[in-house]
Amino acid sequence: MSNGVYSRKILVEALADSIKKLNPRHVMGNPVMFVVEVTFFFALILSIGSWIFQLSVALFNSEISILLLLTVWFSTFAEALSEGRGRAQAESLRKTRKEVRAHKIADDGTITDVDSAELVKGDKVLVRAGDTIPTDGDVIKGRGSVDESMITGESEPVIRESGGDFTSVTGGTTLLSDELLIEITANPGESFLDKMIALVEGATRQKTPNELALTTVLAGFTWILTVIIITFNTLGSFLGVTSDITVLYGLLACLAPTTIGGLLPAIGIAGMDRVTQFNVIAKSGRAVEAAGDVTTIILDKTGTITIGNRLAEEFIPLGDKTEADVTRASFLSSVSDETPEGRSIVALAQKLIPDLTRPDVKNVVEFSASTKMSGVDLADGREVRKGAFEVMSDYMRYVPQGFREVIDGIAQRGATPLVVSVDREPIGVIHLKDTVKPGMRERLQELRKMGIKTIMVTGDNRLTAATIAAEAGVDDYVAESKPEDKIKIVQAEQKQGKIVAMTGDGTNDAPALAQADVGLAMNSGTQAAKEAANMVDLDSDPTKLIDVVGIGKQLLMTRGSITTFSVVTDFAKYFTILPAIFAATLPAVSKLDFINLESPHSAILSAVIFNTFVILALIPLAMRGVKYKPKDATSTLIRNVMVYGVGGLITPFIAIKAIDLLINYLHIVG
Amino acid sequence: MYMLASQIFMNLSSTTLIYIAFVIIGIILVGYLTYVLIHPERF
Repeated sequence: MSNGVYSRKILVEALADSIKKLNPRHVMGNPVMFVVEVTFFFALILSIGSWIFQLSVALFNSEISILLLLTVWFSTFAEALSEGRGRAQAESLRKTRKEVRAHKIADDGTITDVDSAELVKGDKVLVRAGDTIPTDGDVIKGRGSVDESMITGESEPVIRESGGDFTSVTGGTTLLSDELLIEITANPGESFLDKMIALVEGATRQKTPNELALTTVLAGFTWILTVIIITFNTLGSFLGVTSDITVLYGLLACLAPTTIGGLLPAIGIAGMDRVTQFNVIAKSGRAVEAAGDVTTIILDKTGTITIGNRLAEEFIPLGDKTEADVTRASFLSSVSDETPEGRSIVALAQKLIPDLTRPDVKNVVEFSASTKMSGVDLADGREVRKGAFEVMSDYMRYVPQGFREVIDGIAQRGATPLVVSVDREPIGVIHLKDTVKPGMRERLQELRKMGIKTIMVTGDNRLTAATIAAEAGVDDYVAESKPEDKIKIVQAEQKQGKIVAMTGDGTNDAPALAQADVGLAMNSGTQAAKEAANMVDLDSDPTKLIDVVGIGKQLLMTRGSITTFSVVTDFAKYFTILPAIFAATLPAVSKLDFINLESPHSAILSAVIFNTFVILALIPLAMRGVKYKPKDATSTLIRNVMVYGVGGLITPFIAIKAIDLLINYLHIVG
Repeated sequence: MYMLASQIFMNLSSTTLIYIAFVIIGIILVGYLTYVLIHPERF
């Protein structure tokens, strides 16, 4: 899904689009720019009149008019450019949405071929190996591998099956093996892909609370300025100070916060776009902003902090049992277990005892987060189970001596112990090795530097959780937790005034995802989780939550930095425009012009040129975002004040002086 | 008519008509900005 930052196609489209966006009805949505545009129309009429009647100020009027138009145009260009990149991403998503023939199953079981566009919520379709999945749905029967590369870019197929947390299939993906019976969950035009396309295109974009607040401040500032400008000559006449109207609207354009006003929409859209570059779809700008304000992150242990697949390391016998006994029992308990852990147990057992053969299985007991136990009932009547110590100690007939020590020994190494029993008799313990992801400790340290608290949630026992927590460097952990507990953890943090982010993929994660300020659902997860969350990760990588927080912070910092720059640059303009206005009536004010600008008209023109082109110059920064390093709030603030505050104070003086020299050298001052 | 228009444009700084037009447009803008301040969510 990645695109060049400024591909030729995007630039050309943005140019055309930015001209369409000059329509006052569109510009009206941006108060600062609307004031500038109305001023432009007024200036344009004065310029035309000045040329017709050959007035000496005709050139000056025209120059100011053109600059006012350019100011608005650069703003609409920035907006069109940021939207263009989103549109390019929407285009690549749209390519995956194609009309296919679907095998619809009627209530009486007959199969008819229909167009995918005719399918509605509740319809049932049969998808065979090689077929494109017609639209979004839940697998209600069967299990198969699905190629989702057109959405995720990930070439590895994923397993989709009925029951559990991997039932959701997305329209446009391809079934590679087996057969699936799917119940459609979306009406035409309402599929996940349709919604995502609308989101990245910005069709459903609404102003975020921070944007609203800033718009209000900017509108208030412009309100005061407009009142001063329109009353300037009336009130000034009492003091004998009046000014040319051209100078007055030049002043309005210069002192209005046009830099931030012009770039505000682009900054917001670009922030969402940067999230999309990470293959994460943010359902609203509000979600990205909230990510920037996050103070607590709840992370799952398995798959997020540790490498997802725990692997069997060794089999430890209990009591009078031998290693061969526990190896055989572990093998039997896992023959029907298709999880990576289960497969690793079978592989290790077969490595230790190569002649192990698959038994006749009568019944398979699937693992669930609440039972924490799995296994098989064999045809010979034996009941083989494996599971967590807490549930197995209740399930087994007795707990042998030294059992607790073995379990604790494994847990203290940060590994997961699984107890194996046959006919409720304890046989031994499987040591499942859990490895903290490389670089995770450093990433969590970065979060701490940023003042973000990390909480690890795991179903594992306390000892394992504590060891992994210490190894990874999380601030807090919740052990022996069920998926339903997550919402309580989120609520508890929120009660303390924290802004909480979390990831999830299961249906039982959905309430917590909805409750969290930032809920990142995995694309591989259930429809319920994806609906509840405000962001969806197409690559299904929970670690990305950390990147999303970084992007959110970068968005807020970019907006803050450009606002600071925009307001501070006004300071220099007082030193250039005010002496120009009062040159004739209050000569003493001209002392303010310490950079010695050539003439009042030249001073105003230079200031307006700077004001206009600074928007164009800052478009790349608005798109890319300010440089962001995980640091504490104080040093980040100091750095940004130095760069954008002090920079915004000094740059205009140098730039305006340079422009003044240039336009006088070129003799283009009207 | 030409003479009147010419008169208006001859001296932009002191032409009352243009100044009045400028003030009227300014008042409309102030009204619009006031509306933005009351209902920022609509913008």
